[in-house]
Amino acid sequence: MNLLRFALDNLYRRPARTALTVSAISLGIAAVVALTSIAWGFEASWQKANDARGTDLIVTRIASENTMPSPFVAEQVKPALSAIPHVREVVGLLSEMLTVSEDAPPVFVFGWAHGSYLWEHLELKNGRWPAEDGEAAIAIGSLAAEMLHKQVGDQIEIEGRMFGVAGIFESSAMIENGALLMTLTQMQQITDKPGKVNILNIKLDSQTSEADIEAIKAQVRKTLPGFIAITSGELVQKNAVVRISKAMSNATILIAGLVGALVVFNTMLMSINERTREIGILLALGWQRRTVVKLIVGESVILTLAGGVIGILLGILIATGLEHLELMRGKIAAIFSFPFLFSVLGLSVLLGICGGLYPAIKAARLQPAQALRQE
Amino acid sequence: MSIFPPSPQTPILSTHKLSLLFDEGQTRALDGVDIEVGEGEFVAITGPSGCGKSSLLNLIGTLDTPTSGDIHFRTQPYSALRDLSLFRRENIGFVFQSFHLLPTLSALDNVLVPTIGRPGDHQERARALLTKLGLSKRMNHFPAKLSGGERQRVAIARALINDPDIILADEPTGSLDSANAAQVLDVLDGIRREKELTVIMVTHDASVSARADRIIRMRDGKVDAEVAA
Repeated sequence: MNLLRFALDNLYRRPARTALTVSAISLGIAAVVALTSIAWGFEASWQKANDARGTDLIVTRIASENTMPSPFVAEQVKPALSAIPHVREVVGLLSEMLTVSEDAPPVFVFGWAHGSYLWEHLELKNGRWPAEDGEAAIAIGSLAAEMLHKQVGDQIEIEGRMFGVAGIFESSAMIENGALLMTLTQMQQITDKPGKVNILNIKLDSQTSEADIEAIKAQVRKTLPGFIAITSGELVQKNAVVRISKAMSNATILIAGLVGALVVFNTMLMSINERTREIGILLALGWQRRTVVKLIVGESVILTLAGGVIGILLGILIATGLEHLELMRGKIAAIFSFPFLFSVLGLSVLLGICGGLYPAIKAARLQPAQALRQE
Repeated sequence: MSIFPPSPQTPILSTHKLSLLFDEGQTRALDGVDIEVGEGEFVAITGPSGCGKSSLLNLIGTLDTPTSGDIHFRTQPYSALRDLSLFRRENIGFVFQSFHLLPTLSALDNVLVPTIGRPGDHQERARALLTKLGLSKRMNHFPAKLSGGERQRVAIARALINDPDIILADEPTGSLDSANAAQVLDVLDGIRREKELTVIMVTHDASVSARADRIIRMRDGKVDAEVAA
């Protein structure tokens, strides 16, 4: 018989209360895990899409904080950027989320400059790429093909214009797998944004150092008012949706933490009120007060740790379920990192200690004779 | 016939003008109690209900603190003890009228409860105690499956597990029929003699107090008389 077994036995003696408390904590932890992994996944998905293209710097409007920054006329800035030392290629990108089928949720449609390096990271699984800038043809990601039930040779109507599916591709970035891809010129035409791009992707030469990159950033700020050159990570960080989703996940952590601690606090307080006489017996039998504190805090931590483990599994299940919702498919890949999951377990333990400490001290301070008189 | 004389030669325990007030001073449970208990003595504290005998036992057991006065364990005054629970663990074993066994633990685990948090493996000692008390075949039984006498013997084993110097028993036979009561008293007295323990027992039953070496009669919170049994 040791303290752990005794604590487990005490929790086992009150199965309904133990189950309810663990359920409440696990729901809170599940919300934390699901929301945070989705928020991180959202951020990482965008960054991965930018990184996969091999882009070194992205030029965008300085004030734009949309998922895809506000469009601007590429020729305003492209010549100046091309003239900067170490800049090998400057490529425009225009994107929109569009509904292309009544049976499927909206999908990302990307317009990339024909023949640019942006296409190079994609793996063509079937068919071919659009042959020229003016061809009304698209390539579709493998996930988009599945969602839209399209294959090579089929037609897709986008913004009132018919496009032939020329090829199906695979990308290491999940967002691209769920997207449709056409040439920049075609995209500018169907969205009525001639000459406009959301961002300009800059490919630098292999001799470019970190200091050179900083110098390019500074030069853009100086010579192109209203524009900024940033890395893909910085672009994602700047994104208002990413920031809102992270703020929501932080708020959830805070709320779940507070509610969890209160639930545990209430449970343990009720438990020691019911067990006053038993605690009196333990004290009479020679238990030291610190052993009583260890017992109550131990019970509390067992509850929150169990809630934490179940909550993590539930959170992973919820996030995975959300990923597979038709509306979310191809847009979010939740991220479950081990450090984060261990932190959640750490949070669970902290909840147990915080929620159990006051009831434990209260129990340890009981006068044994008074506690024994309690019915 | 006691192995010790009725007036103890070597007090293991003595109280000095011990008083206890309840209800913000409205009720006087103990009023200047002076008693001495010798090493290895078996003392019964008797008296009518409400006379203060259980309050005295609680003070001796450090379960309560006196309003005034002090208690000495050998030469050590309680008022100078820094850790009462540690003192209780090392020197005192309790036996209660209603056993106070934990219902979800087996007899063996109940005996081991006072050792939780103490280093070492106490299993063998617990098994040996239960065997000595005639419960070798009931170790894994839960309290609900034990008779009243068996439960009290488990409680006695529990009181002995930390090897105390004094056993404090509050109406240990109060919940038992006469046959079981006699058996429990035999066990208690046998263990006392074997281990040279001091036993202080509260009882209102004259036939039970007759088993003690000495009887302290209380009335209205005071010692009324001390007599050899």
